[in-house]
Amino acid sequence: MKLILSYTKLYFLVLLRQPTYVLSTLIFPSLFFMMFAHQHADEPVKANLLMASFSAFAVLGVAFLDFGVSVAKERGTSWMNYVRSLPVAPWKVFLAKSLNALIFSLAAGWVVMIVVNLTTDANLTLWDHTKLSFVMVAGMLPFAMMGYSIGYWTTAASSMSIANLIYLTLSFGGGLWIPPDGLPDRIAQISRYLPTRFYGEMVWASVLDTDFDMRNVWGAVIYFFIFLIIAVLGYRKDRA
Amino acid sequence: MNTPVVLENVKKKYGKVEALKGLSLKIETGEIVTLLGPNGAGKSTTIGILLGLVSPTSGSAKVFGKPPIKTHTRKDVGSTPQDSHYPENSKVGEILSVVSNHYENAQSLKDISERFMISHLLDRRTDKLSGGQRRCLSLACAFVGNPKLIILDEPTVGLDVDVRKKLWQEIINYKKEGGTILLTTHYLEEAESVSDRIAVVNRGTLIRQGTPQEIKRSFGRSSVVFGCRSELNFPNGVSVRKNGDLYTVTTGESDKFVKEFLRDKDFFDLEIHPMSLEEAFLEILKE
Repeated sequence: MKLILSYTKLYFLVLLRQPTYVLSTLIFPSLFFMMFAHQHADEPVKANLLMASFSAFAVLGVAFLDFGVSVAKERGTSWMNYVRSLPVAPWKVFLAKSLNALIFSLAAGWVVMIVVNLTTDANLTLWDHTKLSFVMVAGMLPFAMMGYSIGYWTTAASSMSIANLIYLTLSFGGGLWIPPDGLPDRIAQISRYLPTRFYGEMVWASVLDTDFDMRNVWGAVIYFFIFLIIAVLGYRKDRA
Repeated sequence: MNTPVVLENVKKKYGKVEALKGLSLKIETGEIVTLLGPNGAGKSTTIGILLGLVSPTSGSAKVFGKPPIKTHTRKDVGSTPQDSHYPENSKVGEILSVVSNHYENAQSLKDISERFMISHLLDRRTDKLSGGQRRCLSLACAFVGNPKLIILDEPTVGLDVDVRKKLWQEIINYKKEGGTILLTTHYLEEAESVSDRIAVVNRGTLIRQGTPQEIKRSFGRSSVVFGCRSELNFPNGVSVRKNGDLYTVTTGESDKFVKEFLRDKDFFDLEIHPMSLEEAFLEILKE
């Protein structure tokens, strides 16, 4: 346990000292909200929904950057080889990385929640915020796996652009920037099958206080397993 | 107690390339063994296997009686990050503290950083270190856990003379406390002074091993340089380079060469140079 915390602390400090990382995960989503969505958040219900959308968008950023880009950059470095030679089970390092991503994704989501609360008439209770935080983090799992897949199947140089391309396209397609009924027809049809849409539907349900449509949960689970397999294959390829 | 290192007929194939072709090596407690060989001889693969980074294609590798691929086995092993690369934006003290947390009998950061002359750098970012300082940190990482076996791959590369001397001192102290060390180096002359045994590896196998004296004796070579204007028929077992009238003959038995071959020839400007062990070694690999 001491070892897991020790790695978590190291990874946390290292990321915190990286201004581009902090900026793009913690500041960028709120900035995006202020520029493109704030004008549509003119009623409490809309503001609540957009808060959910943009906090999900913020968490996605952490998943893609923290798992995707950082794994690709770290892969095959002599530091990573060294860690593999130390007496530590790989799952502990993995867990430390995940804990760290959890901290950053909560922070990223909460920055959005604070900004939306301060600038709109959003009227969620503390309990709603808690629920949203929980769904937001749990719903991140398929994307963490997607991040790992990118991390293991791209190179350090290409990972950033590939991760960003997928991150932004999926966020748009899933209706996190513009609500699904505002999407162009063709995209709206594809949208129903995107992992970001399943994610969106779940965070929206959590702020609307409606029941979860199990279809979305199953969709997320299927995506989780698909990308888990791709990530594991990539990890094996890398170790061979 | 279990033997620190036992390799038995270890083979490793990377695709079609055979990096190790049945290497056997045993290291006893308290021994300092140097693995010597040219690049591509299989030294790195051997070390990779002992650190659990590479699994052998066949044969058996045991560290303290257990397979090194098991995490638990490596609790008794210390090593260095190969080219001293650390996570971006990490600090010296943070790296040492994470590494020391892997070991039960780790030394305090204060002690280890003083021993490796980096106590004033604990707060410095690893990317702001000089090459030599980075190497010191790597060495500190290997020693910080007080492991029973330390594996050092090319530990003296990029070290200035002071640090190099310091490292050999640390290695000697560590041995006195009962530690076992396996190292690889190109600086054979230095390894000679601390090693109990030198194991020469070439093309994936162990070609010879012995005390530094034994290795020196069997690898000892001299070059005999002389001028001669007549045609010469050299005996077997010597290698010859000719440059105009000047001959350079490499041989393990320079006395015999001069007494039996050269004595009745019409030679001039005779010189005899003992070759350094490294030169001799390279010469032998060519043969």
